[in-house]
Amino acid sequence: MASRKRRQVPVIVLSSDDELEQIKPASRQMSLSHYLSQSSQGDKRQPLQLSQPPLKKAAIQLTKTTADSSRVGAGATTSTAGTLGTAKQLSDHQAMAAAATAASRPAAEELWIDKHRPKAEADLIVHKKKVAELRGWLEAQASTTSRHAGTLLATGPTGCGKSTCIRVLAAELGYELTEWQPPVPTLWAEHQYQAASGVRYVSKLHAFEEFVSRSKLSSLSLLRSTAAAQPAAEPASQHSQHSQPALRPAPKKIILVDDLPHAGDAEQRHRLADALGELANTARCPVIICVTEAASRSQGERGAGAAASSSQGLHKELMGVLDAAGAAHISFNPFTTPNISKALTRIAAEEGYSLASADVAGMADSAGGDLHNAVATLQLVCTGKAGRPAAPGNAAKKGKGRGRKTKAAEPESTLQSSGVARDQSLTIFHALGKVLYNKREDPDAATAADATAATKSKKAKTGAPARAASQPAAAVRAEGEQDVLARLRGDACETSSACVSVVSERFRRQPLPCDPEAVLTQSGLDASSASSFLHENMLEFLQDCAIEDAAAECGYLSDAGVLMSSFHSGATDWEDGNTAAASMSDAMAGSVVVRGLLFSNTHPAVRRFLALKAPASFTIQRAVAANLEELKALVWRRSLQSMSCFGGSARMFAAEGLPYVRCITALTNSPFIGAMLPARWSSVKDGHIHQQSAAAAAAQTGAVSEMVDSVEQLGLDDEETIEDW
Amino acid sequence: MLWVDKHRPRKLDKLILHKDIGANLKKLVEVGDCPHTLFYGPPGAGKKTLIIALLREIYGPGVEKVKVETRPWKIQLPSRKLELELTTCASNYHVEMNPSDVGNNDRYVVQEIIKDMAKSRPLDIKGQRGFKVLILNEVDRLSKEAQHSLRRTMEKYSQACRLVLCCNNVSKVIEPVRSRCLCIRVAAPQKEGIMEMLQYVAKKEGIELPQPLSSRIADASDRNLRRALLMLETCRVAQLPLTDDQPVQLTDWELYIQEVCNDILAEQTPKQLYLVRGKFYELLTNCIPPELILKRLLICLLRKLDDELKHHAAELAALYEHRLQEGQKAIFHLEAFVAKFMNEYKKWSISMYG
Repeated sequence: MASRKRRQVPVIVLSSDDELEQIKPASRQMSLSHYLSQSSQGDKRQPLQLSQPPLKKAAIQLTKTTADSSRVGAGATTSTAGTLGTAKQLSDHQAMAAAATAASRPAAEELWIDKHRPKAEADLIVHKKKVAELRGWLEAQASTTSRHAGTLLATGPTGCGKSTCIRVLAAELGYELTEWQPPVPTLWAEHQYQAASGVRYVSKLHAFEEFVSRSKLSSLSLLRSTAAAQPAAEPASQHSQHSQPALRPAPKKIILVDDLPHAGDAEQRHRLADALGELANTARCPVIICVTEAASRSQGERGAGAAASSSQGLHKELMGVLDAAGAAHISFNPFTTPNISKALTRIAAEEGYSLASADVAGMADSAGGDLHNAVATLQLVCTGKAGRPAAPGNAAKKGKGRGRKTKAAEPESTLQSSGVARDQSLTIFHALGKVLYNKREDPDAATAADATAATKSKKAKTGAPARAASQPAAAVRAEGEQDVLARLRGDACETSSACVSVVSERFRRQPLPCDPEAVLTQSGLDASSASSFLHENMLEFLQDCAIEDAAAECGYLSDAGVLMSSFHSGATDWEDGNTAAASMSDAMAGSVVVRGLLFSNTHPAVRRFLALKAPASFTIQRAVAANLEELKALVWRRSLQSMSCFGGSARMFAAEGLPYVRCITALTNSPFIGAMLPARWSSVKDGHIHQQSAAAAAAQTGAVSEMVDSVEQLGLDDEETIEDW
Repeated sequence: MLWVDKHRPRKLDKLILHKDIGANLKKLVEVGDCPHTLFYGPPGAGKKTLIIALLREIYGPGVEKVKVETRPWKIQLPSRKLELELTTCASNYHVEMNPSDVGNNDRYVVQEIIKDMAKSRPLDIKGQRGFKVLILNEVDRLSKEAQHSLRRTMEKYSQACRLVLCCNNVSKVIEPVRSRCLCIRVAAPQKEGIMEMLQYVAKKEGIELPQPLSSRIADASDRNLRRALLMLETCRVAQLPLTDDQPVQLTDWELYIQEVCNDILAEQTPKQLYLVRGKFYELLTNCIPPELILKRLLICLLRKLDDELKHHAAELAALYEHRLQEGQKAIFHLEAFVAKFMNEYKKWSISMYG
């Protein structure tokens, strides 16, 4: 354990190949010196001498990549002290090194995110109410007399100030913050190398369980995370007293769990849930659990999965455990763009850079509420600027300031040209809302020339899927799209009057405020789940009389269904499938769905709050799969008894045999025929799967025979109509 | 045992329907060399009965001693190792399987099993190496890749094993496979044939079947013999001395679709569409094939429609049935059909009644 703690491996997360080239020399040097520092065991000063140009370059690169690395999860990027200061995970050990580094290194070397970390409550730009809420909780913990300390769950997206807020307030209220220190992630190769020296591998989850069981004891020899310098290895005997609050009034402890182990499968989740529940129930000092909401930043993951399985970034099961333990819950919201720009302006001013307010706004906007990211971006931009006299990005923007409407896109593009800004993302429900509510721009508000140009280009584009949905004109999405868009816009400008008459009245729509494909991309949904979500919810967003819109929407969904499958059957090569073709056809399907829905919804329902539902089709699919399994087993069993008459086809048996078999069993109670009923049958009620045993199913057959009675009437009815016709 | 199973003819010369096919198959076996065969026809026409009778003709009664086993298969692919489970029903002479059970991996499984069978060839009566028969059900549900791989395998291993393919829809079997097989069309029996069969079974069971009832069962069965026999048995269970005017039981899902049909005609709004969607989900959960749902719904609708609308409905149904075959997400296509039809119906009723 001890030897691993000392390892401070620089983890460099690269976002693309060309950066690799740039960073190689730097990283080689670093790892070399790192190696040196390791070989001269225990000399912590060694890394500090690295403050040389290459490191500086590496530091910039690293800053740049923090934006991307945020999704890798803080746990994976245990940083070199002070270089990649995500600073969240700093154990006291690393924090000490960081403090030492900060002391000896010139100020410019430090990351701004650490340098300008708020020191007092007044500096926090987190919403006042949240701060007050947190403060209230902390104060309540101080005054409580109950033996069991409280638990707090702090959730929020990355960089919304959860940890900072907690640290600042804890310090102000005189708490001592104790952080669970997760084991350093070990690579398999590393492990093999170390195994000889007797170091055992400890999984993060296991370490957490161990921590929980230790935290029950008052003689908690946990390591401290506050950078308050003095070595943490206090003799355990010093606070081994059992009645801690009475005898040790001084700094009260708070346990902060900032980095929960990742629980991939059900079994791990179960273990984690147990550990969490135990922690919440038995801990002697207040526990704060910080959880990053992954769902709102669903860049890497499949959006649907994230929405289905996690709320507030935690799995439902874990939430349930914490709720049962009476945990308080504070959810932090992402910072608003003005808040971030204020903070950025302040930092820039303190550093002595002056930035155009539009640039700052652009940075703030592209950060998407992530202050951490915004500050990193700021530092990178400013570092680049130090060499350059003027801000070229600013001048460029003045030049093409026509695109007034795409306010967010313009500064983003200047930043993006320097490769800084992160991709914007949307929450699933935000993205779905954009499509379902079908908000259009008001034509009167739009001003003269360029506005109409934009209108027309969009109109022309919107018309395209309507004319030929199977013809994927709407789906030129990758680089090509920019060209197409530009060309369309150009055409529209030239022949503005002709363009109006091209499309007949019923195909005209008001311009869209957003780009449908961009919405889809930002939401991180693939076509299949996007269409499922939209399908589930679309009917509620239509006026009651608008069946023709519903018909058109359904038609587009059906088109998309075909497009989606064409990549399933067509593009699967002998090997692992043709991914390029697959993603193309997926993109086309997505485009058809989104544009089709936007186009055909001409009678949107009166705007009101409508809860979006998760698609029922997922549950149905699971139920169908379960039933089919049952049936298959059954059909095979039957074919053993007597050469089966259903050709081994489960579906055929469900359609033809099963209803009669049910009837016959209901009427005769013959056990022999009853054996032909499936043992379990799943049905879906209110979005949940219910499994019935054979007995219940038999009871259900009663219902069937009731239905039989009603059928007789229906049957008669039928015959009459037949005679009619 | 259900009557359908109990009274199924086991030998080619005991056939009551499709006697001509039986005679031809018999000749084929006598000649000694049985080609690959492909049986196709609508459900309940007697494909499986013919196949089993054919096997018995070739191998004798031993073929009826079957065992069902679920075996794990480990298949080494170029890039990875595939592990899956597949249930097969096998005797010493034949193996029967449902390749569509394994979804996308069907192509590997078919090849692997055929190779496996080729390894253990049984001896025939004269002490020479004979061939085994592999029965593949639902070939029309096989992916195109699997069908293509089948075509090569059929040639390569034709010494060791003969394929008997069985499917409903022959147009979904690729041309090369069809051309390598002896295609045998098993037509749905005529009403007279079904009535004859019903009387035969009733006689065997020792019950009196009134002619009008048997005629009504034959009508309701849609020329599906299996259904007809199940209906007959249900009638017998419901009431012993069978009477002329006894109701004939339809399946529960068909009645449910009747309800859906009434819903569609009652009101044409998005809300109603939502209701219908719920009912479709219910049907799908019960594993009713979407094609059957659409077909039945169309039949129900056509009964109640004005002539002017019938062709619209049929056209839409044809379009979306095709979509069902091509695409994923059955519910999208079913719902699209209903929505489009509602739209047409609304337009029509407005024009009719103002």
